[in-house]
Amino acid sequence: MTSTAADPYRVALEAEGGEPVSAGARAVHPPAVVTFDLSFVPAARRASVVADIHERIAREVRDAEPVA
Amino acid sequence: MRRTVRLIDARRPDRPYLAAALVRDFPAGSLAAVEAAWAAARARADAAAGPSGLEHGHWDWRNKVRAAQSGAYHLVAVEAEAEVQGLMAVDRRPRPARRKAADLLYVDYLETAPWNLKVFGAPWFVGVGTALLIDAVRLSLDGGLGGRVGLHSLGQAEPFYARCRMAAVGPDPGYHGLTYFEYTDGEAVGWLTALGELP
Repeated sequence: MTSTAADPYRVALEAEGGEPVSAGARAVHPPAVVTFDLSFVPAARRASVVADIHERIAREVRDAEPVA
Repeated sequence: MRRTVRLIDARRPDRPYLAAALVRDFPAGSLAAVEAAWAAARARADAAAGPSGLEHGHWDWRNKVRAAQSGAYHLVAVEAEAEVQGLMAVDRRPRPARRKAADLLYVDYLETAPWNLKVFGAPWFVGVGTALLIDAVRLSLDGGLGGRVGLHSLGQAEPFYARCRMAAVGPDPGYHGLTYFEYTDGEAVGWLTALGELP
């Protein structure tokens, strides 16, 4: 083993020692579940409204910069 | 810009220094190649880390390509033996410090290559995170920010940043509850000076 007594740089590197050093976003992003009340929407239009919501969410996901 | 930094080659019993290259302006177009090289080993490290796994086990640098290509990040890499041994993404826009009315350089992401983690038993190269953090301080000094640096540490990495003399400001409810660390007034310059990295 190389001496570390007079080498603070080596001491600092050895202290890192293979431990994780990760900085950034957290590991888990819990999924968000949202419930929409479509009872006021005429039945014939509900499928279209749902499609619009899906499209909007897909666009947000596509355009968003992932945080991790 | 490339300059030589020293790592410890932990594969050898005498643990000699190894000359590595620190690369500023690492190309965003190379992030996919880095991820391809790291992904399988990171997954194995995640599995080997026990029930809690690695907190960054899900990371994927390909998700950073667009932001890096847009110029939002300054990418810094450490290379040795023709492989990227660590990567850091630094926000090009200075942010306000938490402990002083001044701006600082913010480290968005920092990770070492999975084979440099001791979860496999023995890391290959030791000191990659230290070399990257030293360069974050240098970037801050070069940018007139006085060595001030901020980052949010994952829980498993908090002892590392504390050892590097960063001040733990505390959990940040605005950022997933991660602990925010900061070099504010002179700590970073004192740390680099103690390491012999500054005159």
